[in-house]
Amino acid sequence: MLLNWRASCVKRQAIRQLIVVVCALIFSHTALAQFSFIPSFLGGKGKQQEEKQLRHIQDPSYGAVLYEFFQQNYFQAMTEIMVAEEQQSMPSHQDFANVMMGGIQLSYGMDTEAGKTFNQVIDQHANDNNRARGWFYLGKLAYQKNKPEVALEAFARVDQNLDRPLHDELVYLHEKITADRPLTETAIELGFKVKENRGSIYQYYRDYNRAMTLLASDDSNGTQVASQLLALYAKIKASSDSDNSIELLGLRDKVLNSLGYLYLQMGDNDGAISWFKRVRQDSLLAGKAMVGYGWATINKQDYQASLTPWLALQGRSMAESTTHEALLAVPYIYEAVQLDQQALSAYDLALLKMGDELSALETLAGDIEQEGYLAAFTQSFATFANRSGASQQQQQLYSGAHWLDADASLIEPDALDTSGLRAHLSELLASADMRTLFGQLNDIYWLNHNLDDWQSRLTAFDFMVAERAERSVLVMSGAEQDKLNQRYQDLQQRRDALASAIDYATLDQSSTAVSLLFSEDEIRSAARIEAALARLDSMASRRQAILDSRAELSADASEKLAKSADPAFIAAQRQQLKKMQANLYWQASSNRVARLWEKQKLLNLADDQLQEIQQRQDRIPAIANALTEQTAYTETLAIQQSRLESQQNKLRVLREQLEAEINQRLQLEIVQRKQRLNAYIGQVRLSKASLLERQISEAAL
Amino acid sequence: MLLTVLATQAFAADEATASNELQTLPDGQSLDDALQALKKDVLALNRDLFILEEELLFPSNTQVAVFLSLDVGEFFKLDAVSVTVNEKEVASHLYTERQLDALVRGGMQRLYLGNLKSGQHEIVAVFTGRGPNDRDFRRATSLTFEKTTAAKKLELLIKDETRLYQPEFSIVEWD
Repeated sequence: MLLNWRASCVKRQAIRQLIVVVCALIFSHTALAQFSFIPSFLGGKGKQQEEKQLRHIQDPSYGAVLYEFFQQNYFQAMTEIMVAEEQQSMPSHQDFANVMMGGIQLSYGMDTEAGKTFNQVIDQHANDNNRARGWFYLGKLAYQKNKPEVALEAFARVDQNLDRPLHDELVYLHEKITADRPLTETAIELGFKVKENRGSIYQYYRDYNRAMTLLASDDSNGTQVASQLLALYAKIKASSDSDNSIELLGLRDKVLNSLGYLYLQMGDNDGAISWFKRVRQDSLLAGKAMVGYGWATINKQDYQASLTPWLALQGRSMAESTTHEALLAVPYIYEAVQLDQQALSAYDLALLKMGDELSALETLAGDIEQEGYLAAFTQSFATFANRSGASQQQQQLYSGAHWLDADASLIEPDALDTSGLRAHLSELLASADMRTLFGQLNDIYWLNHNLDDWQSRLTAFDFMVAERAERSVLVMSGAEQDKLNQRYQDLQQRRDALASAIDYATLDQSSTAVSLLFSEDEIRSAARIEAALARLDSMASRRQAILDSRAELSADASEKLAKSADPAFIAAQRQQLKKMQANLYWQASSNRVARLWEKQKLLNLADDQLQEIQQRQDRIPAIANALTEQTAYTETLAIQQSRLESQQNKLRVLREQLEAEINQRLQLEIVQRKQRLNAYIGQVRLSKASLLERQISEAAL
Repeated sequence: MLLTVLATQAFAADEATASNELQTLPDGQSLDDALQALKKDVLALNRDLFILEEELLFPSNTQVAVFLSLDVGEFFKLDAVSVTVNEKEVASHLYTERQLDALVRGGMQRLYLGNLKSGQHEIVAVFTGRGPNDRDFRRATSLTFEKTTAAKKLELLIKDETRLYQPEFSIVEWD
């Protein structure tokens, strides 16, 4: 009885697995479609033509946008586009920049804004190419918002001017939407002739979708589906598309897994085993392939072969549902081969592991309640914000690139390990909903970090503006202007004196005129000579006076006077001084032209200084304006500060709500996992009891 | 003054939602909608603050911007660049693979933004990297330019001279 129940359970499990796989695959198509804006710009060699077109830069601002865009600094790229638009600094590229902006917005989780941007592109009569892009993205947006009819209408407006990569994506999406519509609906055709592109990644997904659609249809025929999948497998194997090799490997594993389950469903266990065995061991689908392999070998009653995958699965993380399944399957196999003791041990192991997992989930629920895991995430984000341990890739992910990279993980391994989330809830964390929620939480962290950064810069600007205003006030003050006027007058007087001297020295050859060309040293020497001559004259005069009143002097004094003021001595000294004086004048006269030039240079310098002072005086009204401007800046800064604080508050509220939402989802998952585990524990206990009962019965006989 | 008007308008737009500080989401608004609206506001604020910063620190009458671009880049792999203006180093940069990739694909790096008074100035750029046959390569190029009261944009351009199988370095003035 139990065996029969188990057998039917095996089949139900297999069918459920198949449905799970199909759902996962369909989801991954959606993800591919959602994130495919970037390949159209960031692709490999196939996109060279488009990049060449992008490279033709007519405004540096556009080049700066591309520089950020190609580095996947999308937040910065959007800011650059907005600044350039405001400053009208890239008129030659505005059309395409708008398309780019819409694409980034779409990928950055701003679909409402993206819709407005693409409508704007179309309304502004952009060139044919950009209009086609605009309609394409509007259609894609509608598709993502689950408005297939609107999407088809928009796609119908796209013409043949659409770029090649987008063309392939459009054909793919059009076919996908059309296939999902009821047959009674009128077909909405594309407005251009579809060009087959056998190398496009979308061709593979299209083929896969066709096979899955056929499988889901009422008149599905397993052989037909298998043949489609086999053809696709052969095509993937033959592909030489190196740009998409990783994605193709993932798709290959999906096709193999689907083939395995299809063969299992059709009762061809050997066929199923051969497909499951080809799935890569490091594939995300390896666990599901092992489960399929395990059931196929059980169906063949090849229990020995069956144990290998189940035992391997049993040792894997309890976060994976396949591990739970393995914990049930292993004792079942032991029982089937009548290894009762091993079966009992396996039941005990299952009970132990499941019990441990229940306790761990309890602890995790408590931690989530206390928001311990959020503290770990905040810590990992702070590490990035402080630029002390984040790789470039992490920085890009934090700044928004994660929306464009379906495989990117925002959640730091350390944070996951510390919090225990990875150990117990990895399946939930990998789901699209949770990825979106964590992506949004990341965006909030990032936006907040950005605002904090501006906050400190605004404080610095505030100081700077205050300093400038203070300086302006000082310049505008009366004392400062008086000083400037006084300096101007002094300089003007000296300048005028110099100009007169130059004129006089130029026109007149007299000694007075020559003396005007003296250097500072020469002026001092000439003055000393003049003073010495004056002293000699004085001595001569005094001697004459003494001589005139000789009777009044003592004998000693008369003798001294006679010695010191000897007329011959005075005459000799005067002659010496006159020689020196003549030498000075001679030197000045002989360098007259050069000295005149030196004086002229001094005059020019004085003129420059005067002009500078004049300019400074002229600038006073401008300084007065600047003062007004600084006041305006102070007001602007206050306004921006207020906007910033308002946005910080909004972010705080959103963050709290988002964290509450994430907590709720995590708690719900824990409750569901606990329920599942309890159900499994019930099954294990029942099976163990049945086995023991059988052993007792057999012993009694 | 344009800035003040802009800021006031932007603030007025924000005010509609900020007047009664958001404590809970408005009726009918999902978390996603609220986050989208907030992203839009933060981006607008980011734009206004960038413009304000530029006006304050680099007013157009003294502003000089130096960009760097690559055209093809088969004969030269850029490692670093250093820029001097009037014999004073104003900028230098070491390139990562990702930055080089962005340049090769057509991006232009805003290498330097600074202030210069009106008149004649000299800019010298020194490029180091790997040249033809993967040899160490170091080249300099210079330009004397006139700064007027309008903002000045200069582009350091590295391009392949296919005829000579050599890289070519130049400085281009943008109008």
